[in-house]
Amino acid sequence: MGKSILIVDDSRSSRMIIRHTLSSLPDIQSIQEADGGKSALTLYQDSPVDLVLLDLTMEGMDGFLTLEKLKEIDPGVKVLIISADIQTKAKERALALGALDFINKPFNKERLTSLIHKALNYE
Amino acid sequence: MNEIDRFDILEEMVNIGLGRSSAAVADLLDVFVTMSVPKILDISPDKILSYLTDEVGITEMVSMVRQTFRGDFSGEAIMIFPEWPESILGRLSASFCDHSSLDCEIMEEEMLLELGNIILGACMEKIAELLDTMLSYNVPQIILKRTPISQLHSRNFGEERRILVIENALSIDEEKVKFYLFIIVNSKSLSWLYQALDKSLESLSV
Repeated sequence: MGKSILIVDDSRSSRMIIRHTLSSLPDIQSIQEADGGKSALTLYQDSPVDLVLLDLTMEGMDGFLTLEKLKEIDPGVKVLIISADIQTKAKERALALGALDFINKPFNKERLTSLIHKALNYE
Repeated sequence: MNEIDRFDILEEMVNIGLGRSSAAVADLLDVFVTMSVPKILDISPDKILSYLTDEVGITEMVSMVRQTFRGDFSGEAIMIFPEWPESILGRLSASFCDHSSLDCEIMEEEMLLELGNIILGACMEKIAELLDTMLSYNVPQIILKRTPISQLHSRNFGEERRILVIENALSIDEEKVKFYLFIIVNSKSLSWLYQALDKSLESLSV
């Protein structure tokens, strides 16, 4: 059965690049986009997805808070972080909040698709 | 590609560049730096003073560090601190300052240059990489230190130039250090930049 993904990033070009990368994956049925934390939570509550790809640095509700709120809505939500914040502490904090993994921007396409495959097949 | 798309791509590149800058500051100070979202504007030099006073709200003192760069895309990068970055400079100089006022003042200037070098250097280098070009840099200089803004003149930024203003802030332990990064280029360099941005969407993934 096809998988659904939600891209959460306030940069339109970043969402475009990620969407383009996802288009090469055969088992992705739907891709939704949110330009911020609040809209991401609304979208997820209306229609939960199999995987969330989440930026950290966003206006208003940042990625850390969005991740916390997503986990409150659904403790089993799968989240991969895609961020320009390359600090080790940022990665540690995201993983501690329950993110599955973390990839820096600019991301390597092969690495991202590998992490997505792993996340979607995670039991 | 229209200007909105170009600015969106440039904002994302600046975001990645500032991610490198934040990590460099974090490593140096052994702290966690919270990034904010960069905002970019394109303004002319004659609007600089009114931008800083009316939009940014600087009414008193301002400090500036400048670093010139050369390559396919040449110009100056200037960091403007509307407030003296006491917290960061204090952390940087704490190990070296022996509390004599002269040593502390010299140390503060050196730390301000170091801070400018770290932030400007990391950011511009990453942006150049994403634009698939290489830049060479001069040593950074302090051009204003806690100077009344009234002493700043638009002609200091040159005529027939454009200025890309990047507004950003780093937060360390809940304390926000706001700064503005001005990238000042002539029209030839701006044309090169826009053409490079038009080609560059693919560089945002590798």
